[in-house]
Amino acid sequence: MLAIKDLSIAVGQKQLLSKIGFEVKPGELIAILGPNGAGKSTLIKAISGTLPSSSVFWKDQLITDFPSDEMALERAVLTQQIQMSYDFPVREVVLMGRYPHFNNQPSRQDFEAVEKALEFTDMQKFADRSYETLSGGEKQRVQTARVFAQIQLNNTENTNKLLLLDEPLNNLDIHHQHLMLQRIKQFSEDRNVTLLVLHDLNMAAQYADKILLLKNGNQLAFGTAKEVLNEELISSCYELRVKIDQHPYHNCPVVYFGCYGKMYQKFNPTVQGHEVSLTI
Amino acid sequence: MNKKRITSLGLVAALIVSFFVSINIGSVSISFDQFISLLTNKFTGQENPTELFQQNAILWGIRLPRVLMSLFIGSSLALCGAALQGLFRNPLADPTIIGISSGAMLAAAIVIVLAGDTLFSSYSFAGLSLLSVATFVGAIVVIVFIFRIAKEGKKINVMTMLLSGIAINAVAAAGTGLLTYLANDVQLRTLTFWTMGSLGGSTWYNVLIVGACTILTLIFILPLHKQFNALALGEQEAAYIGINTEKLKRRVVIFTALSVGTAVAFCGMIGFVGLVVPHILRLVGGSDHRFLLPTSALAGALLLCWADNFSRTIVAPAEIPIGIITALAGAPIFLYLLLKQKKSTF
Repeated sequence: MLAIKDLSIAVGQKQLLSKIGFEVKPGELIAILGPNGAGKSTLIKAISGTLPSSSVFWKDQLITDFPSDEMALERAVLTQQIQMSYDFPVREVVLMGRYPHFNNQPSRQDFEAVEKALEFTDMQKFADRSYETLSGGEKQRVQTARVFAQIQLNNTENTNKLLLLDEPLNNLDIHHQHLMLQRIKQFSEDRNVTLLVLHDLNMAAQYADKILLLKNGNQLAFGTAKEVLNEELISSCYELRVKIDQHPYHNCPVVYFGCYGKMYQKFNPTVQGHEVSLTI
Repeated sequence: MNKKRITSLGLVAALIVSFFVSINIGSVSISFDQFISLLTNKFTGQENPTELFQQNAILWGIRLPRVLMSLFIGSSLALCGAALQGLFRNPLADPTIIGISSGAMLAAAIVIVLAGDTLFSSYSFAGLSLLSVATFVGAIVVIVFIFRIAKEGKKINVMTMLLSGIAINAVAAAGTGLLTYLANDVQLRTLTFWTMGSLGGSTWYNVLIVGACTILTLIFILPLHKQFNALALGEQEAAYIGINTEKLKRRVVIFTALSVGTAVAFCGMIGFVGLVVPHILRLVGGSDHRFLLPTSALAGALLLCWADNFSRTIVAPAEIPIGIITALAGAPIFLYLLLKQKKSTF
């Protein structure tokens, strides 16, 4: 349903993305992984249709050909580091996600979607609080709720939509990280397409159907967790020692990063440590 | 009933009362009964009793156009302040501070001095129209300039915005100063009137033009509450929820220039209305533009109506220029906002 064909983006002399290509079927949850500056956010932006490109296809049409108000009904995007210029109550911020759905006065359905989104992100009890008084993780949950409200995460007849999330787990505690990913997983299983940028490889292994691995704007791999998460690829991508094992009961791959050296010696006093070295 | 609704209804009530009180007070008092009978006599074509002749002349010639002018100018200036602040994503964006008014002022000065006395000796309709077109152009040039210069990627740099405002104010002051030097006595008096602001010259012609501009501004800006709210998330985020930010920018630029331009053309520099009014309303009812935009229009009308009442009664029969009154009220609030921003962002 979503197809990226030979996508390259450059700003001036700098090549941000080169020759990215993959396809996503409805119902798939794709995790985009890679070191800082790999081009993950640029890719999200390109797929959202706000960058001029002729390589992103949504429902067999160029995504840039869709009018933005039409697109807002079936595509929601969560960006990184949103800074609000004015303070609003939390519920009002979430209601902004419903803006494409009503003209002047929100309908009952809009309010329901807002309440549902607040519930999904565990923010109901903050609904009347002022946004500025929230912590970083709570703000992140409010913005996620806004995006959920836009895409109507609760509606089970809701299919063929596109959800793009740039580091949705920023600032979240472990409990809420898993809560978010479970909600997102549920949503994508209703025949929707979801792409999200993550930094936690184990989270990606546990929840994503496929993983896209980027480095320096290049596509290192695209495939299932078992295919992409192999020691050679991951250690060269992140320039870090890595050991990959299997999760005791999820049976998905588990990634252990670490290095030999003083840290290692702390728990293994008998082992002769190497010099501290992050790479292999 | 919530706070927002009480505020809105309170403002409407206060505005109606203020209108009648403003008609009443002045060097010649016109009581409510007199006002009503003058009004009915006017529309039924009946003769006024002789003791009301003076009141009749003052009401239709001076008082009523002036009060209406204060209401129109106040509401359009305050509404544009709120709109500019929404667009720039910053509560310090005010037409006077960022130089839009001075841009219009300079344009007015150029027209007054260079277009010659002939055009203005009688306040002809052509002259006034030329003046308002000039101030509109002056205002629009400044807004576009500031927006270009203060924009850094996705964000408006507040420092750049305020500093470029200072630069524009300085250039406009220099230009106006130079023109003052070139001006003859009549022009000089006109210029002085312009730099300090006054509603004293309000005629029905002016009221008609300003009223039309104000109503257009209300019609085109008030329905944009969703757009302004979404813009608080950021320009990119607003685009993701289907908001056409370019259209919003164009509208705000055009109608702010129109409002500030006509205000400057007919009443001179009246500063800080666009800063003070939305600021107070944000404290009362929050930043939701569905509340902020219409109440700004109401409260702006209320503020300017009373500012003008003070301006024309405190030292009656003389007048204090209204620009002085609004600046006295507005500057402290500007300083307060500046300090608050310093704490939170710098």
